[in-house]
This record gives sequence, C-alpha cells and structure tokens, in this order.
Amino acid sequence: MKFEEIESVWALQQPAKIGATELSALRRALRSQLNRRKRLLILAGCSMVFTLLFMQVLFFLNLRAMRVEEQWISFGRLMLHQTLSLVILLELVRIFLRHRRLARSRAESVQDVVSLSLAGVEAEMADYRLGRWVTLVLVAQSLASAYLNQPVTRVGWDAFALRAGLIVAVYGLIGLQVWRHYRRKLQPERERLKATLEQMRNSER
Amino acid sequence: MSDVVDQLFLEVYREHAGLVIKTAHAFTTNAADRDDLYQEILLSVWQALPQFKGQAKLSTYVYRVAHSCALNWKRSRQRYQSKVDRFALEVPDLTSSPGERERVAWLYARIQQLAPVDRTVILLYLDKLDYAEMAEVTGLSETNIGVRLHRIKQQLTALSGEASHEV
Repeated sequence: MKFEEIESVWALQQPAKIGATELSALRRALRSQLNRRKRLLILAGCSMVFTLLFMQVLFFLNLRAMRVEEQWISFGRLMLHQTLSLVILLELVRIFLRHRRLARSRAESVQDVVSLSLAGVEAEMADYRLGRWVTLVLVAQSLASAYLNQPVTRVGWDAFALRAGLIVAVYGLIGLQVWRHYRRKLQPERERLKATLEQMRNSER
Repeated sequence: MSDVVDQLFLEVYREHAGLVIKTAHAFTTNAADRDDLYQEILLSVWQALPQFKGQAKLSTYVYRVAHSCALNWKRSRQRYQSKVDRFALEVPDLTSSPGERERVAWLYARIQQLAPVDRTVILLYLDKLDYAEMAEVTGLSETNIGVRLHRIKQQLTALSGEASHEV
C-alpha cells in the first residue's frame, strides 16, 4: 500500500462542525443578557416618568397645604427637578433606542455572538459610568432640596444633617453595589470576551 | 454572561473537535479509553484557552494542548469528571458510513503501532500542518521532524503491507 492511499483513508474523516443546537444555546444566552438590560432601561425610564409626575403632584399638594416655604422657591425646586428628570429621561430613551438596534443585530456565528455580548457589556458599562455623574447631580439636588426644606438658619444643623446623612447613605449604598457589580462582574467579563474575540480573530489568520 | 463564556469555550473547542477526536483515536485502543481521553483533552483545552496569547493559530494551540495531554494521559476520572459532566459531550463520529468507519479504524490501528511521539507527528502531517507548526506543537526541530516523517511513512507503509485487511 502506498502512502498516498493512507492519506486518502485519512481524508475520509470529515471536519467536525459546530452544531446548530450549541449556537442556538449561545443565542439564547445572548438574548437573555440583552433582555436583562432592556428590562433595566425600561424600569429606569418608568421610574423617571413616575418621579416627574409625582413631583408635580407633590408641588400642588404643598401649595394647598400652604407650606411655609416661599412659592417661588417651591416652583424653582420643581423646575430644577423636572429639568433634570427630563434630561435623564431623554438620555434613557436615547440609550434604549441604541440598545434596541443592538438587540436587533443578527448573530450568525459564534464570533457574532461574542461581538454582540461584548458590545452589550460595554454599553452596560457606559450606562454605569454615565450613572455615576447622574447620581452625583441627583445627590446634589436632593441635598439642596433638603437644605431648602430645613434651612439651617431656621431649624439648625441637626435636622438638615439627619436628612443629608440619609440621602448620602442611601445613594452611597446603591452606588457601592453598582460599583461592585461594575468592577467584579462587568470589567472581568469584558476582558474575557475581548480576549476570546481576539483568539477567534487570530485563529482565522 | 459567564454561561455564555463557558459555552463559548465549548464552541471554540468544537470548531477544532476533529483534531481532538483524531488524537483520542490514535492514542487509545478501546472505546472506553477513547472517551476518557477525548474528555480529558477537552477539559485540558477548556482550561488552557484562557492562557492563549494569540501568538500562534488557535488550532495549533489546541493541537499542542491535545497532544501534550495525550502523551501524559493517565486514567484519572475523578480529576475531571465533574467539570466534563457540565458539557455533556458525546464523541462525534467523523465518518459518514460504516465502510468508511472501518477503513479509518484500520488506519488508526496501524498508527497505534507507532511510538507515541511518532503518532503525534504523523497526525499533524496528515492534518496538513506545516513543519514550523509541527515543530511548535511537538517541541522537536523541523529537521528532526523531516527525518522522523520519512521514517514514519516507510514504517506505516510497511505496516499497511503486512496487515491483511479487507476494505
């Protein structure tokens, strides 16, 4: 028997292909990741709409209850809050539309799935980075409101300090959880996906 | 997301499943051992992928891990069984008919008669790797591979001639 015949026997073996089932499982996992972010964005948007409406109702309730605060101060606070909330809401809508475009992308291969996963993780990280500044603005706005509600010149530092402490503590706890999620989950995930994508691109060369 | 990455490693492996299956066939003589080695190589590949630096082709890297695993293979089910179970993999058949399967099995029987390192060299050669890649996988020099290949081809041809097979 010649060696060429041995080679022809060897060539009878077909290369193993990726099974459709496995790619479907990958797609499902990707969908689940993208849907989770979609739900978060919808929740954030609804909360913002609720806050917008609630603060208007609160403003009129305060007017009817004839609070000691000057009307123009109350109106100024409302406008500040409404403006901030509206800007955040518009940004959320923009992010949501971007996310929808990403979610509609087709993943025809494993590499596509990884690319989309990476894009999803990076978009989520960008949300959190933006959220950091939004949180600072909201903390500042809440502290200003607390100050106007309990002016230290009238009620002393204790009442204001209590409110301010609560605001900082609540936002601080939320921020800490988000920061942990960002550092411990999203950053390593992004690095892993980037490395894997790089491997796949190198293997194509 | 970690599920995605886990499955991704599985997919990366599966793109190169053929070479793992061929290695498992070449280094074992019965189905049970073949399954064990196949899964052990799979686990080694899965564990080694994060260390891949992208300096070589991914397929070459997988070859290296697979052949290193095959050469050092020992039966140690406990060490890897739990991790392999999560993949629930079955060894795919690379042939498309019983006749082909028989001819390929006959060829593997001849390859198994070679020395372990020679088995690696001939597998890489039959899978069309160039000398540089073969050297990277085996750790041998290209000259050494050339010499070995010449000898292996003769040996394999002789073994095929001796064997009374029906194809």
